[in-house]
Amino acid sequence: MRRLWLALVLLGLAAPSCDWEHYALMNSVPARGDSSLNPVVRVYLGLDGLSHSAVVRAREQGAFAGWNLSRFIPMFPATSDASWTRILHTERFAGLEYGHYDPVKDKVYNKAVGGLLVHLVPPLEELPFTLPAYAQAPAYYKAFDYHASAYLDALWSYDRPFYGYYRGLDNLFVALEGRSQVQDTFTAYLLETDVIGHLRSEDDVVASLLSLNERIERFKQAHPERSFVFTLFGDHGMDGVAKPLDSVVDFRDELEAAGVATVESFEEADKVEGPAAVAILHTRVTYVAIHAREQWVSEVARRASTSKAADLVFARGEPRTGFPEGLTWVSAWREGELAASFAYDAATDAYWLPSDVDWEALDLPVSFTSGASHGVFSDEALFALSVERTYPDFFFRARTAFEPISVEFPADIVVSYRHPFMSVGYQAPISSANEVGTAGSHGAMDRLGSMGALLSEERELPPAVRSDNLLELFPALVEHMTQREVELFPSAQGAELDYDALR
Amino acid sequence: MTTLLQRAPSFFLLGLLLAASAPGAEPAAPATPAVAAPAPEEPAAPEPPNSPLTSLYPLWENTAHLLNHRDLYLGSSNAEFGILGVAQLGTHPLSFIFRTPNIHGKVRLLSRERLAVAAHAEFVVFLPGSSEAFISSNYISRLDTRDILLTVVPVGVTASYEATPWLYLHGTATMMGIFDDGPYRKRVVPGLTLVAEFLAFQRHTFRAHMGEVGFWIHDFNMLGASYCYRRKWFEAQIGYFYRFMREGRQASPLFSLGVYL
Repeated sequence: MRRLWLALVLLGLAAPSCDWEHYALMNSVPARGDSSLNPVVRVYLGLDGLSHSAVVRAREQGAFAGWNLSRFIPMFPATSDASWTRILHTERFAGLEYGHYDPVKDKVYNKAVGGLLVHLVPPLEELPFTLPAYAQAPAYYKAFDYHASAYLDALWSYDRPFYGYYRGLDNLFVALEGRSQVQDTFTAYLLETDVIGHLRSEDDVVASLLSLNERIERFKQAHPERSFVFTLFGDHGMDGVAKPLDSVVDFRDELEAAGVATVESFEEADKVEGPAAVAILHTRVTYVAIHAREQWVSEVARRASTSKAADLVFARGEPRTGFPEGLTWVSAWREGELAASFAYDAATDAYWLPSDVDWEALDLPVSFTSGASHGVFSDEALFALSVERTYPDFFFRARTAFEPISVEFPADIVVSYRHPFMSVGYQAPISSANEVGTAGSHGAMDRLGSMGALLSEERELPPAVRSDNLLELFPALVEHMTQREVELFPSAQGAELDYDALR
Repeated sequence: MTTLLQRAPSFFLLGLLLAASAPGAEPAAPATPAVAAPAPEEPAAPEPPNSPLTSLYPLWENTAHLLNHRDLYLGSSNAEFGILGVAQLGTHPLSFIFRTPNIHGKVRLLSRERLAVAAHAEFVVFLPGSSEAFISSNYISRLDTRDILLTVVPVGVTASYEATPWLYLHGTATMMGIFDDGPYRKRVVPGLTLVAEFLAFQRHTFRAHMGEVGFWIHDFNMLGASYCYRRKWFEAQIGYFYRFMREGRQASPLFSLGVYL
């Protein structure tokens, strides 16, 4: 009996090996399907950090010839977990990243090194118990047939990004070959393109895309029994701007210098005389999310904008006189001044822009009727005028940054960094570890880190696509997600664009 | 169920006999299937083979070793029960959690001093949902059985040969039948694996694994290495295996803990 108990204990200890055994079992059965049942297989690859500029450079070297390419504009701040959630309309993530502030519990989750380590926790969906919410993987993983190849995939990917990338490609194409025996749609996600962009350079990202193109072509040639139609899309761009170490800032220091007390809860903030805020540093990105009491939001945003690291600081704005009631106002602060404010009318899906704002200073060529105090613009008009500018899709992205669309607890203030500044993110206890990830980043409003890519063999594309609209363009992707029992959530109000009108 | 205490004298006697018969005796005594100690007073007491009963890699590998009558091996990868000293019935218990009920059996065909041959068959049913049943979605199955019931029946023969007292070779030839009413096609796939087992020390063995699945309809090659620790009734195995497919390479560890009851 003693040994029986010991056996049961040992079985428990062997639990981590469960997936290994099932993985070996399931992948050792050479089953074949009938290609006449699915002669065409649509393949959707989500590549983290797939920037438009890297794709253009890869195409200049012959990759993805004949594919349709579109600028793919993500949400603001352009950060992975929230952005994938927005693109795929999956269940909301608590914060923009794992590190987040929960206003209900008045608590910051996954701060400091804990926030770094939680990235290493693999998704454990089939455990007989539920992990704490703050350690759960985002729901969008479920949209992908393939998204990783081992428990500690994230660790290996950051340790050796190219090795992780090629190992990921191996697993992806093995899975595609197997799944395409019976599936007519296959979805996969690759993390390493983002890691290479952060840790290496755009040249290396281009090299990885050339390799991917070669693997795709080789795969097609090896499987003439079916037609494989690929679509690639990314969740954000990658600015490719190297970050000197003295430009890697802890924004809490910047806030303190600007006279804003940094706290870890509103309870603590209420004990402070003057403005106080909870700053979420996230990872090594070019934005910072800030939470503050409503009465302090504008003042904290103004003071935050005095930081040398801040390009623009966005916040919910206060209504202006002379405009209808019921509009949703957004403010943008720069160098201690209100640089812009505008309003959104949900009833008409139109934006109200005051004419006394220096829109040219924001590289936004807005024109008004002579003498008018404001103009009312359609979403399509503002998308068209901003998409090729410094701040693509400025109005929609700034407005929805504060709405609980893909994020359960959106920030009250978002700081968009100027180049070459970057948020220090989580500080590792080993100092040399804090010098990595400085080759490039994303998250800020400006086009360098924002401009993702959408690349497709399946259909023609508009020159620029708002990432919220991806599912409208690819119904087979929606159908596949539904088959994978992914619960789809509504997109942001007014996210739809009339692409025919934009041509 | 025989307890360890009851079996201890027999273990001791057997250990003495085997140690005496193994020159140099440093490597563990090779496991001849169903080695029986001819003690006149009591029935032959079995010694669990030092060479494992079942191989670590699923479906395509095996050994010709068998448990003795009514002996039980309970492990994370295998649960095995000896029948009459010539057959063995077992299952992969953890696979049930993954919606993959299964049963397998093995029958001795030949037993010589240095060579044992056994025939084996397995019946594995991948229930709908088994391809998505991983604890972590970081692992993926190339099979899609979300809405499909797939039956797999590998049937084969394994020869275990003692080349030297410190080297065992296990060769397994398998024909795997795959049965489905669609969309998968019914087919039979051949496979051949070879395990070279080095009984380096009394309780430690190292194994090299290799295999080919498909041959003229090639599917994958397998290459791996594993280590086994055995002490009395306890056994632990750990290995790392690669599958080389046309589209790329898969790799993962395999791990097993078990006890002989």
